[in-house]
Amino acid sequence: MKKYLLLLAFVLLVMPGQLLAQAGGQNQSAASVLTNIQQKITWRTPADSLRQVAAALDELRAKSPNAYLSYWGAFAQYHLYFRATQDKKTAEKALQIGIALLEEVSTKTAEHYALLSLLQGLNLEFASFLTIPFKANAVKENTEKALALAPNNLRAHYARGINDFYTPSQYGGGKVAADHFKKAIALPEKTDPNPYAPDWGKADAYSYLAQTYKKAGQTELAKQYATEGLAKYPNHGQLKSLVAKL
Amino acid sequence: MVLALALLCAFSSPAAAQNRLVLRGTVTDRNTGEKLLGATVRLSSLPTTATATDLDGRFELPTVLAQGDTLIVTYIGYAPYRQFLGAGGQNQAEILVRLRPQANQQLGQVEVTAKRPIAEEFIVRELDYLKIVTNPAAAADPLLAVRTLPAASNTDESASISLRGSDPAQTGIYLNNVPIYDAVKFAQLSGIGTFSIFNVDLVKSVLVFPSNPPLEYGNAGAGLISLTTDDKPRPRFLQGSLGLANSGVMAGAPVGEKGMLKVYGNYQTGEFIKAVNPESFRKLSKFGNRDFGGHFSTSLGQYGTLKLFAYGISEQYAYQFQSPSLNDTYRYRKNRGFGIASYEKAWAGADLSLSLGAGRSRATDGVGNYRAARRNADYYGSLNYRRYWSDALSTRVGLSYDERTIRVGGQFPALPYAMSETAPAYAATIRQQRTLWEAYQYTKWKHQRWVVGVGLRTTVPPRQQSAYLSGQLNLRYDLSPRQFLNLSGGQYTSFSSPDAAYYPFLRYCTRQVALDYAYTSDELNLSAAVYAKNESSLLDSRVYGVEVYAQRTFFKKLSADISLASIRSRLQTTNPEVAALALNQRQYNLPFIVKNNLKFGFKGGEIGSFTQYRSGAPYTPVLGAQLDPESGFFAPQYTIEAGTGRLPNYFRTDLTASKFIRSRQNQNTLVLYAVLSNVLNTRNVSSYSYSADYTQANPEYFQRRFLYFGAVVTLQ
Repeated sequence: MKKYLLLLAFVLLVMPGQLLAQAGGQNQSAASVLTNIQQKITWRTPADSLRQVAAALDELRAKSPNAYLSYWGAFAQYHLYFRATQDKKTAEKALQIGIALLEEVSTKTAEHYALLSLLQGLNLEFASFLTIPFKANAVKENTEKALALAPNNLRAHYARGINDFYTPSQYGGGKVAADHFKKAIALPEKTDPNPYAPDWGKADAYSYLAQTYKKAGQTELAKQYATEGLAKYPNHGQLKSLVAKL
Repeated sequence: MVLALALLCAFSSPAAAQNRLVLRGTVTDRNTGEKLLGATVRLSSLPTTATATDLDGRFELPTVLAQGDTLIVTYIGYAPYRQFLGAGGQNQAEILVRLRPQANQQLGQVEVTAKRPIAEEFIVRELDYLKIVTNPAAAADPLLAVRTLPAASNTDESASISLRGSDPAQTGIYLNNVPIYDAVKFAQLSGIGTFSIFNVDLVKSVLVFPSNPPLEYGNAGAGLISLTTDDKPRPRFLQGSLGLANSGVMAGAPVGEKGMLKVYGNYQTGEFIKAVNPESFRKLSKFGNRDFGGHFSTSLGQYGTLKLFAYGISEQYAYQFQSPSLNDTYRYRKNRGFGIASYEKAWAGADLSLSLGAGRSRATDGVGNYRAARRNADYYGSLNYRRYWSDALSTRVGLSYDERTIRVGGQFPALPYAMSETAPAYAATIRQQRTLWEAYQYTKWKHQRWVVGVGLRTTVPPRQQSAYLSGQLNLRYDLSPRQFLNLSGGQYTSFSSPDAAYYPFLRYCTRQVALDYAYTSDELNLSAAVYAKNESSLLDSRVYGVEVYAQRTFFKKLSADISLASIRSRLQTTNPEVAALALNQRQYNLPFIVKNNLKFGFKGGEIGSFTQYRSGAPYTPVLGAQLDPESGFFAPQYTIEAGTGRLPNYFRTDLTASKFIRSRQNQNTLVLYAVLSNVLNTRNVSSYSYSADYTQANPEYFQRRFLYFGAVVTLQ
C-alpha cells in the first residue's frame, strides 16, 4: 500500500504541469495560447481547435495589440480557410479577417508580409474581375517585400514560389516557382530564436516543388522531391497523396 | 526498487537545477512604460536559444552563463538592448529592460512611406485607379472623380475643382509633387463638360485634402489634390480605344528588370458626337484635340525610384458667343507641353525627394474686338528631406522654386460691355511674372491615439519678394481603428492664376479651420465635416460649411452612397472700386447639395448612376441698362450687392454601363461602355444672356441629354 501511495505522490509532484496543460487544451486559456503556438496550428488541427486558438488570440489582442498575436491570429484564419473550402462565405471571411489582422500591424516583418501575400493570393478567388490585376500586383509586392527584408527566410521564398505557381503564364507566372521552392527546402525552418516565431512551411514547400515539376511534365523530379519530403514529414497529407499518385 | 526510482525522479531535477541560473526580468517601452509581449531575450553565447516575454512583459531565461556573457533583448521597432552580465552573474537581481523606440528599420516599409506625404494621416479621401474607373460620373477622369466627392462644390460641369466653397483657381493640383496650374482641357470652353489632362492608366493614387492642405506642398490655399503616377512594372501590353469623340492608343513595356515605359496618344474630334447629340452641341461648331504622353519609371539602386513624364496637347474649338453687344464665333487654339521628373530615395529612418517640372504653352483666342495671344512658361523645382527621429516623431523639410511667366499681347475691349468689332478697343502687351523661393518644415508626432502635425512655410531671402509666413496645425484622434476625428487649422498664402490682361498675380491669404470625422469598414463608410474659412485678396470671402456622407455595400454587388452638404458664402469688400469685381465673381453660397452614386456589379460588367441635386448658384441680376452715348452701347446696371440672384436649382442624373470580356486563350480584354448623361434632359441654367438693351434675359443651359459610347481593347 505504501508503495502505491508513494507512486501517487510522485505522480502528483511530477505531473501537475502536464495535467494543467491538458486541461488548457480542452478549454484554451487565453494567457497560455502563445506557448508552443506553432504546434497548435497545423494541418492536423481540427477546425474547432483552430477557432478556439483564434478566439484566445483575439481576446489577448483586444487587451494588448501585438504583432505576434496578429500573426498567429492570421495564421489560424489561413488554416480555417482550408477547413471551410466548401463553405465559400466562411472561407472568404477567414481570409478577410486574416488580411485585416496583418494589415494593421505597423511593424511588419518578412513573416507578416509572406503570410499576408498567401492570404491575399487566396482572396483573389473572391475578387471582382476589375480588381484582380491590381490585387494580384499587391500580392506580388508583398512577397517581394518579404524577400527584401529576409532573403534567407523559408516562408518568404515559399510565398514567392506560391505567387509564381498560381500566376498564369500570360502574366509572367510559372518562371521562378521551382527556384524559390528549392531555396525554401534548403533553408532552416526557423532563423529567429524567439519561441513565438513560426517554423512552418518546409513540408508545404516540398509538396509545391513536386507539384511544380509535375505541372512542367518532369515527373521524375516531382517524384524525387515528393518522396524526399515525405521521408522528412511522413504525416503530411499532400505529400502522401502526391507520392501515391506519381 | 520502485520506491528508489520514484525518489530519484522526484528529486533529480531540483538537484540538477542548483548549478543553473534563471534570469528574470521585465521588458517595457522606455517612453510609454508599456509592457512588451514577445520581445526576444537571449544570451550572446547562445544565439539560437531564446525566450520571449509574456503578456506582462516578463521573461525567465534558465541558463548557465558563459564568461563575459551579455544579455540581448530585441524587439522590432526598438533599438536592441545589451547588458553585460559579468562572470558568473549569479547575483543578478530582477532585470528591468526599457527599450528605446527607434526609426522603423523595415526598409520595405520605408520605401513605401517615402512616397507618401508626411501629413498622410490628414488626407480626407484617397482615390485609386479602381475608384476612378468604376465611378459612374467620372468618365475615367481622375479630376471628374474628385468632383463627385461631398467636398467638391462645383457650380459648373468642368473638371476645375472647387473644394468647400473656394474658387477652383485656389485648388492646388500636383502631379508627382509638381504643381500643374492648368489641369483641364478646353479650359475656357463652356457648353460641354471638360476633362482633365490626366490619363487614368498612369494614375496610382489621388489624394484629396479639401481643407488645410499640408504645407509640404506649395502654394495651395483652399484645398489640394495630389496625383501620383504608377511606377510598378507590368507585362507588355497594347491598348486601343475608340469612342464617339475619341480614339487613342497606349502601349506599355517593361524596360530591363525594374523599369516600365508607357506611351499614349489620343485624337479627339467632334463630328460624330455632334451628329448623335445635336442639341448638346448647338453652339459648339467645332472642337478637337490631339494629345500624347510618355511615362517612364524605374527603380534606381535600393529603394530609389525615378519617374519621368512628358505630355503635349494641341486643342482648338469654336462656339457661338452671345452677349448684348455681339453674336459671333469665338475661336480658341492652344498648344501646350510640359515635362516632370521626380526622384525618391529611401533609407532606414530617412528619405529624400527631388521634383522638377517645366512647361510652356501658346494660345490664341478672339471674338469681336477682342484678340489675344498668350505665352506661358512655368518652372518648378523642390528638394525635400524627411527624417524619422523615432517611429513616433518625424520631420520633413524642403526648399522650392516656383516661377511663372505670362505674356499676353493683343487687342482688348475698352468697355467691358462693348465687344462688337466696331466697339472701342486698345492694344496692349503685358508681361506678368512671379518667382517664389520658399522653405518649409512639417513635423509630425504620434502618441497612442493622437497624431499632431505642425507645418510652417515661408519665403526665403534674399529673393526680391515680399515676405509671408504660412502656418498650420493638424490634430488627429483615432476613436477606434476604424474611425477618427481630424481637426486642422491654419493660415495659408497662395497666389491666383491671373487673367493677365487685367490683373496681376494676386496674393490670397486664407485662414481656415475644419473638423472632419471618418468611419471606414468593408461595408460601411461614413464621414462628416464642418469648416469655416476666410479668404482675403482684393475681395474678402467668408465661407461656412457642413457635409455628411454615407456609403454602404449590399451583397457585395450593390454600392450606394449619398452625401449632403450646405455652404454659406459671402463676398465682402469695403473698397467701392473693388466692389465692381464682385459682380461677376463666382459665388458658392449653396444651401444644399445632394449627391448620390449607385453601382451594381455583375459577372463581367457593371451599371451605375450618379445624381446631383443642388441649389442654383448665386448670380448678380441686371436691373436695367443705360445707353452710353460715346460708344453707342448699353451699359448694364447691377444690383448694389453682388450675388443676390439665384439660378434655378440644378438636377442631373447620369447612367453608365460597361461590359468586360476576357479571352480565355490569351487574356486579351475588351471593355464596352456607354454613358447617358443628364438622362432626364433637364434644362439646368448656367447663366443668363441678355438682349442688346438688356430688357430680355435668356437662359443658357448646361449640357443637355448626352450619349457617349465606346470600346477599349487591351492585348497582352
